[in-house]
Amino acid sequence: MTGHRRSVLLASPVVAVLLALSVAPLALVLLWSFWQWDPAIYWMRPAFVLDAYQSVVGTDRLIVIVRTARIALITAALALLLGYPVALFMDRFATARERTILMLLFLVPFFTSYIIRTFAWRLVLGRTGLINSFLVRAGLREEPLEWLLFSDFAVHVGLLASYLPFMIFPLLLAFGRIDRSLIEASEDLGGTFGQTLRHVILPLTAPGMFAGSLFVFVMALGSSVEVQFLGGAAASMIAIMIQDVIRVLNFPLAFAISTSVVLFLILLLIVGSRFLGLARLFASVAR
Amino acid sequence: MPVEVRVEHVTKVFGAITAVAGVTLEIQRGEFFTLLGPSGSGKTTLLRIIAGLEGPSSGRVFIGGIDATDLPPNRRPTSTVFQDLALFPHMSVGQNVEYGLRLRGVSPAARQARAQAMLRLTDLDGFYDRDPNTLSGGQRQRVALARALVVEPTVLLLDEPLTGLDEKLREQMQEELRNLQHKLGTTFVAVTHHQDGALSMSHRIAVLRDGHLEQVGGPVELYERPRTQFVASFVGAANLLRGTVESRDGHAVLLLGGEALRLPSPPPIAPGEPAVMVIRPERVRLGADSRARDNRVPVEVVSLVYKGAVLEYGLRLSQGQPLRAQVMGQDAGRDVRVGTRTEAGWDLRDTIVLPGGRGDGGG
Repeated sequence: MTGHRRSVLLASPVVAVLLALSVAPLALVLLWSFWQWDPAIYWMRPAFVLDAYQSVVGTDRLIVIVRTARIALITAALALLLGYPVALFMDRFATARERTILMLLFLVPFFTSYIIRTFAWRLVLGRTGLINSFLVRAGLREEPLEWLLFSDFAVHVGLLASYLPFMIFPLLLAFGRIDRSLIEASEDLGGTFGQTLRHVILPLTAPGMFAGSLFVFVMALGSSVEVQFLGGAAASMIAIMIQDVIRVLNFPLAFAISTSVVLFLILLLIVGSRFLGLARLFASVAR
Repeated sequence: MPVEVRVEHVTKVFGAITAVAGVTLEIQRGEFFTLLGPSGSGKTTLLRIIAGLEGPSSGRVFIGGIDATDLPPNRRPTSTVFQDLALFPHMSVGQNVEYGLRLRGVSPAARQARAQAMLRLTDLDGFYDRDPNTLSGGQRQRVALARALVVEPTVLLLDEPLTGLDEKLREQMQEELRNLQHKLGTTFVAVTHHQDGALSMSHRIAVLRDGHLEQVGGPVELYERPRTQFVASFVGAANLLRGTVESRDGHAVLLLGGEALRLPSPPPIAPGEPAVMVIRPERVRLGADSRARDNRVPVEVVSLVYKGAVLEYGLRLSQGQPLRAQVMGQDAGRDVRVGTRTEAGWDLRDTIVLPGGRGDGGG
């Protein structure tokens, strides 16, 4: 058996798994998104029409998509703002022991169900929740704050609590890849901590920032529980919209929404690897 | 000459390990000074303490007469060329070299001009826009040199500048460093474990061992007059003949098995004490050439290695002590071959006699 044939044979299980679990479903989603939904039979028929995509860009649905993207974007930005100093501290200033403790602290909440975790925020942010009862009892407020719960604020809090670790871990990976001597060289050449941060640490952790932001953004984009539990009455998200559409069995529309989102994310990945060296970061994982 | 760097009773402890143990030394302004020692001798730690990258556990560091012990690296007039060079991978060669000037707020035009001038000086003309990741080891080293020198430090610190280069490049780098130092007049402090590099580059060398300072001196002094067995065997190759000093017919001799070797008078070691006679292999004469020498002993030739310019003989004295001899070309004569017996001789002026405690064993 030649080396080439052997490697093909060795790779075949992986290829089969990829085909079955990734490529095939995506291909089906793409195919069915062009089928025609027939209200008469309440099912879809084979066809090649753009009806579903026309519905996606219809005003109401587009508003939800843009709103979801905005929430996801703000969540990713906030996660970066909060996560970067945490990762910086963990990498540069914490002892090995402190680092382990911090990582555990970020992981332990994930041992409980995300529904419980999200629901718990109601008890913190609600009218009679921890924060409001403290504010009222301490005499800082006459009335409890209304905007704490069932608001975009609450949604962001819930999303951040859920996805912050997905920002911190890629960042830690990026920090770990910076040689200590690069930081020392910057200091040695006269750099203050701020200058070193700006000229050396930030540029070299850009791939980690992008990867973390992408993780948080993608997950926030697909989230529904946080909005359902913590958002206002009219709040919707792409995921909720897809659920609603599937409930009435309009599969082409559901698939068209999904396809649009996937295409958008692929575009984002291309931009990221093109300009921010995402491949370099993942090369370090593969190494 | 004024003192540029003064290290005073500096000790550095890492956990249970004492990396530097009470070192005091002075480095003159405009001098090429080398910290020489095997790995683990504390030389790099000492360099990092001068750079401010490590703080000493105790002791003080003065740079240019100012107590710099508590100054962070960015406030010291020192620049470091790191062992791994630490070139910024996201910057071009030019940006790397300009970095220190950029931090000091030098205008883009001025810093580019200075960076270009420094690149010319380090023989990197035309490399300004190159990506440092695509350069060879020697070129990267010169970028690191240019980057450290462009900020006009009063002291340039070089951490193992000769490591990681092949032999030819290493000799070239020694030469370049020496020329550069001569041209700029900046104080250079280098760390190395290459004793040949240290000898050829430096004005003065400090030999370190286990965190202690063994000896400080010029290359000739260290080679010709080592004060400890460690320095004798670490700086250049050396034969260490161990014996006891005795007095015979009014002369001091070193008793070594059956041989009585003449010692210089007055003898540096009292009779009855153990002593070590140090002889460089190239000062040992063989065969006919050994005849008129102060000391002469019968030896057996155990090995012979041809090294081009020299022949290296492995010899054995009557009681089994090994002795190495290096002979130019055919000086020893054709009759000196492996398995034959001959005589080895050397002059007293080519020997150093040191106290013979085994604890000081060294090599």
